[in-house]
Amino acid sequence: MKAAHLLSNLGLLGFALASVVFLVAQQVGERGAPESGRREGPYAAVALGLFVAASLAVTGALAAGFREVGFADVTSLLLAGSIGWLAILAHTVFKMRLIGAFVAPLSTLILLIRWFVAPARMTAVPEAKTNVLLAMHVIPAVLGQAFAIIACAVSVVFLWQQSLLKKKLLDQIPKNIPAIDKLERILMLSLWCGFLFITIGLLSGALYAQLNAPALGFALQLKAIWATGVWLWYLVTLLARNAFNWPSKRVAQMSLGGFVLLAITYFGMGFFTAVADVATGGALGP
Amino acid sequence: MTERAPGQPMIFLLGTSHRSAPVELRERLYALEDELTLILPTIRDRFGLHEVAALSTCNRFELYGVVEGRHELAHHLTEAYLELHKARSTSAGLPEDEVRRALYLHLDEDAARHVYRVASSLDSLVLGETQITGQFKDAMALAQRVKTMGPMLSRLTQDALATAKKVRTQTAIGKKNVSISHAAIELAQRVFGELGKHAFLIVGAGEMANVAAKYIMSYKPKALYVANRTVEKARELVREVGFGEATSIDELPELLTRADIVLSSTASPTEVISADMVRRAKASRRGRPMILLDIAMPRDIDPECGKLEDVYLFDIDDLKQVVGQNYEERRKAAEEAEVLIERGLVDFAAWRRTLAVKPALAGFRGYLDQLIEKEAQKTLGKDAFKELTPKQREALAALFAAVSARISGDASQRVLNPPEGYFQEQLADALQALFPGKRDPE
Repeated sequence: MKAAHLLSNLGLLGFALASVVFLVAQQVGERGAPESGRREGPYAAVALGLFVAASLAVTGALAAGFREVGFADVTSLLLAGSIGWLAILAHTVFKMRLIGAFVAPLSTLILLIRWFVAPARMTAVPEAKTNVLLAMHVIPAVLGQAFAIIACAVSVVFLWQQSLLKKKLLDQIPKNIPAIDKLERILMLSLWCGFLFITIGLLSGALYAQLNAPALGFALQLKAIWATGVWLWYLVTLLARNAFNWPSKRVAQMSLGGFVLLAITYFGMGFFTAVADVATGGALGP
Repeated sequence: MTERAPGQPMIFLLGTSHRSAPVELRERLYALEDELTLILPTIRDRFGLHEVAALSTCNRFELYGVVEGRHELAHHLTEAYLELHKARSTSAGLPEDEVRRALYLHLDEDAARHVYRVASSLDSLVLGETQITGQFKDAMALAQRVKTMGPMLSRLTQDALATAKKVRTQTAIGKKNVSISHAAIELAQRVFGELGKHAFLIVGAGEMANVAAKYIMSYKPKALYVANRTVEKARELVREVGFGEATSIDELPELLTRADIVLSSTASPTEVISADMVRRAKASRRGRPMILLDIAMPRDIDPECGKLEDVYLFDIDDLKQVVGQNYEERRKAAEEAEVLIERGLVDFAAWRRTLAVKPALAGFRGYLDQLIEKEAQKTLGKDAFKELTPKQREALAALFAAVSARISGDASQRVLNPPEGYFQEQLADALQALFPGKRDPE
């Protein structure tokens, strides 16, 4: 248990430090300096190293937790780890050198909330619930969220770059971000992958609920309805793009909206149900 | 703008360029060769210009000429400039105030320096581009054809072109092949990164299109379409680069759905790619971004296209952002070029000074000729020379002529290369005062 806890805290520390160093790299105006033959500037290289180390630590925490207590309540770790690895993938494959600067603070936030809210020890999920279906619900749902987060980060960069291009301010576009056409492709890929995983997560979640918890509590009902709304949001975005030729700018804006909705699913619903519970004196049920 | 004392003939340069006017204004001032052929002689006569020539390119419209100094010279020349454009068939609604604000005037040495810099491509948007030298040569050839060019502009042209050649061969400026077309493709690279994965469409098959096509080929593009009004010219270009598909300009709507990077450089006086055309093409592009590069003058692509989503439109003025990148490495070469230009200007100034002393030298030669003829007639008419045969008389006449030529030659040499402490003008004035002879016709 100690190993999982230690690795999880190391992950938090790594992401936090990476956030700070990424920020410093941006502040000093490092450009990844392709003309100097280096892929990264020194600060960005350190930040990336910390980011990779943090992702490894979080993955290690997940593995250690599983070895120690079996199925555990590790959604935060899974999400932080997933977006970490997806960001590393985007960095390596698409040369999206700026993505770490977006993802590191987010992973820090996720792990920080876990650090404050979740107990120091990993809680094992009750035996009855630990079946494959649960894993098939949690893992795709978290991956869907991770892709949505990546899509959101890409959207921010895309909208920023597009605005600079429209204003013809080419000199202000950093050299360490991908070209606009590549950003558009990464955005669409992230959205499609995210949508696919959210769909699988929703279906497996519905099936799991039918088999294991036929009568959903208020909190879960609300979360399920909200999650379906988020899924519809992404469906509309992708359909409109393909059927009605929505411009990339609108798709990026929808992706930002989708991220906000997802964040509400993840963080806000729990808060809302807790408040509602207090307000109604527990009349709404668990 | 500078004023000069009346009565003094001087070289002037009045113009607008990429440094003073935006592309929207420059395209209003762009004049075709046929228009200039008709208008230049009229402007020369109407405004009392001794000589005049016009350089009209995508980056500048400049008038070069010789005029006699007068009060309000700048105003006078500005009126000539505006009148020239008003006389053009395509200049309806010329924003005169805007033109006045964008105009610059250089006189004499400054004007000559500017001409040298233009011809050497030091004043170009793309420093060191080669096209301007040809355009300058063509502009001067036109002035010669319509007989608005005189000895001053002719000499200035020769010297400027000779210096431009030195700049190209003796400095590093000519080492790298650069042009507006190169800059446009580099801009596309700044936007899209890798160009090899994209399909290109070149609209037009002229010189700029040719240069662009060759440069595009170095990126190994996915596809290359060349659309031109005369398909045969498009085919020639495709054959030359050994890749691509030649089509008629009528197929543009379809080609716009396939091409990701469109470079337009036709000589069409009207719009070639409309916003509606691009809007329709966008419907089948599924949000794929598209770059439109308009390097034509006047512009080929409706500026409204730039407002469409997923369409990025750039014109000649936007190239400034990419040409600045190579600036540092070419700055040194440009400094060397400036030295060559200053040397050229010294030679030109020396030649101009000879123009000023020429009347005095001609007067002295006339004086000598008259004197010798008179004295020869007087002397040879005497009895002592009556016995001379015609052959002997011819020999004596030749002797007198040789002495005359020798004296005037020596005097010319002294005047043109004055001893220390003297100036050409001083000696010429003295010569004229001492020997006020008949001058040769200019």
